[in-house]
Amino acid sequence: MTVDTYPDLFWAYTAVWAILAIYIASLGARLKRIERSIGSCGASHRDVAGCCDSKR
Amino acid sequence: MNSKTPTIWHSLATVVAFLLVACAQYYVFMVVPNEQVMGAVQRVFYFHVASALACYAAVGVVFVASLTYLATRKDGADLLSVAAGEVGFVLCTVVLATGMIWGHSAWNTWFRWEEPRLVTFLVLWLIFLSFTVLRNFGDPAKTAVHGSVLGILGAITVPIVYVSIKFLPQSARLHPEVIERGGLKDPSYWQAFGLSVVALLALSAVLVWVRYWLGSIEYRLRIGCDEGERVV
Repeated sequence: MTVDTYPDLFWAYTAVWAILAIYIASLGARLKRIERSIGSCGASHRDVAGCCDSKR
Repeated sequence: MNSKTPTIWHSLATVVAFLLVACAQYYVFMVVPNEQVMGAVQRVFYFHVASALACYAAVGVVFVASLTYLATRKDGADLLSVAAGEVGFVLCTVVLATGMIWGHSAWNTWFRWEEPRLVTFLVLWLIFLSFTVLRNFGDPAKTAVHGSVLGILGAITVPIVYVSIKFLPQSARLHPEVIERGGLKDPSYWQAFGLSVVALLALSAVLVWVRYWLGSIEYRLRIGCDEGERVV
């Protein structure tokens, strides 16, 4: 008789996608934080040094 | 356009990586037949081993980038080391989580301390946990050298993870050696495994690329402002 191992398979792939989703969300949060810090001075990420210059 | 800004290639690479992952998922769940002994849970193997190989590739990048940083003190190498180390840690976590769930199904326990491959892999995970914490919460200017040394230490652990099981007699080995023992007889097993490896390598490469890009913006912001403070 084959043991029903579908629940373990489900949890394993849930773990894979949860870990990857959390990491991608953390990258998104990091990007938002950068955009907030450099967007406040009217610059874009293309001109980060210019943002520091304008802050001064 | 500045070469350090995201381009259509970033988006294209992300779409290709996710399409490859979707194809691998289709193969794993829809094409590959159920394994006779383990049943459905054997399908964990495809993403578990593919994640481990992608993790080792990321750790390899950390090793080269860390050595380059220690030799040349180029900040680009340090940024690459941080990006690859962080993605390596994420993949390491995937390997541990899927392995433990598979172990719960196969061995009726989450972890076996008498199994050297599991213990050495846990050590690798702890080293990259330390690496990620150090590089994300420490002062970036001060942790580069320590982070590089820790990255090299982590990379040295990878061959130990691989050979650790070889020191045990065949009868005492608990961790499956599917590939070494010529497993995966059905051609669809190999196709699903190959596709999973390519998909996870592509996904991890894209994640390292995006993380490197974010790190380089933060670096330019930090360096630009530091120089300004010195001038003022």
